Amino acid sequence: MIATAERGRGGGVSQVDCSRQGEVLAHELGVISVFGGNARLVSSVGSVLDRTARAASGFGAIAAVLGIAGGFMLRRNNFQEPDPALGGIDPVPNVARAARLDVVQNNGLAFGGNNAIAVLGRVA
Amino acid sequence: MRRVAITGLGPVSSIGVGARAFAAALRAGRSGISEISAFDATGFLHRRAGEVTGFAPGDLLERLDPARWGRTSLFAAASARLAVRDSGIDPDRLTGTASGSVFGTTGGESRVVELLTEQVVAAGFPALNPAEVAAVPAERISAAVNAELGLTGECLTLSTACSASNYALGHAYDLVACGEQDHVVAGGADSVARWVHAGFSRLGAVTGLACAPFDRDRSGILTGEGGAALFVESLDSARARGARIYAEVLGYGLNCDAEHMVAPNAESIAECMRLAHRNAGISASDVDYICAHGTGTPANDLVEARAVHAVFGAEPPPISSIKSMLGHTMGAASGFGAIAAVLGIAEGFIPPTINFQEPDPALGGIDPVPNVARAARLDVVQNNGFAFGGNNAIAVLGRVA
Repeated sequence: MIATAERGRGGGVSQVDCSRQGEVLAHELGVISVFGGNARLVSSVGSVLDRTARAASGFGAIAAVLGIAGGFMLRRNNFQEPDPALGGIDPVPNVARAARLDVVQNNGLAFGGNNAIAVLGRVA
Repeated sequence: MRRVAITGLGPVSSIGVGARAFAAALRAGRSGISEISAFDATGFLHRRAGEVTGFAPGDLLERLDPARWGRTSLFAAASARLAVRDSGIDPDRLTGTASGSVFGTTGGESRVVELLTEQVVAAGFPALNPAEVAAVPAERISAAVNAELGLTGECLTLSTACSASNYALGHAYDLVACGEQDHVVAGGADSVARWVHAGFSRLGAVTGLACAPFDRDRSGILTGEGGAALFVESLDSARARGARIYAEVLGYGLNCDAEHMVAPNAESIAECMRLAHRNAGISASDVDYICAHGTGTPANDLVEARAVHAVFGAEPPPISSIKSMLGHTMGAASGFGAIAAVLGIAEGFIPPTINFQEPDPALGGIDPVPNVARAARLDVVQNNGFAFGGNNAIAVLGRVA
């Protein structure tokens, strides 16, 4: 699914907004396998909001849009120790980061393996 | 834009399972109403419903383990499996991202929620069965369909209540017409449940012995259940594989009263009919039969008849309600309506409104096809679905020229 969403854009993603805190391992492997060794910056609004169930990827999309418009990456709260199994991703730990974001990928993965990913961009 | 065909039907209903049995029951005007067995109905004023008695999902399903899924998801998956079998397509052709499902529901897995509630009341939260907790979410309805058939494309559950199957069929039409998906199983599913029966009873909308839509003395609905699935693909793909083509989806219309939760609005429903006709590229005079929402409540049938007269004039086409036979199957209702419409087009008949005794002069001279099915050539059929919140969805189905 991540690969499907990327095909529409041809790469160039600045930040990956994970669907929620405590993301399943399969998802992290998906991020690594699509983006290769140079995994993009991955953070989770879920860590700030706790899980919001059905509204989760909506908040993620709003955060992505605010990041594009306001020039920042949201942070992954409550981050203490990198997990080597995640292959060196950058989870934007604990402190929001100023950045120009042109393209953001917003992941949403559901029970039943029902995946939906939106790609949002700066209007040129 | 691709033309969109219906090539498979999978009714799992109180009057028959599978397209052949369902068509025979519609022609015979069979009633699927019986005493409620889904829950202890002691204490309710009325105790009848349209249950699918003897539903044996294990006999219909090939992949899902029935023990792991709720009744509504099993209705959806079983009806989808039947629709795919009926279409004659090689199931291996469906195991890719170009194949998906869209299913509607009103109550989702309410039966599971009721079971869990009983466990808590009887023995506290530690008594909750984790497997049943996992079976609660409504999105499992379409997930069950995709898992049963191996579909890895779209997987969408719509909760637009009693018009949800028409929403699903409309969305399936868009997906196939625009090339987003090549094959979509569309429909709806719901189960007879205590809260549905209790809720409609408290609304004063449930009747006692029989549902009698459009009758002068109609007095309400009977709740019902089942799964209604239609297999949708492009007309080109249906022709290329030499499929039996039941009918074409010509278009659909959606709107919302944005007003009252339960009082229907005739002007808004009439506008929805006009939207559907415009989207389908037809005129009102092209419609040969209206498969009614026809719940059998005094309010619905009066408002529906007024809207029909506003759009069709003094002499509208015949309008019958299969809810007289099935009861109100909620999220599956307009799916069963679409299946009945498609069978009517393919086999040349109009299903009757059973339990009909006295015409209602307030309905302005409609023809409800009383009690006996009628032979007729149907080229264009309008299938009405209206829901709580004034959420209206109408599909238009036609013979393939």
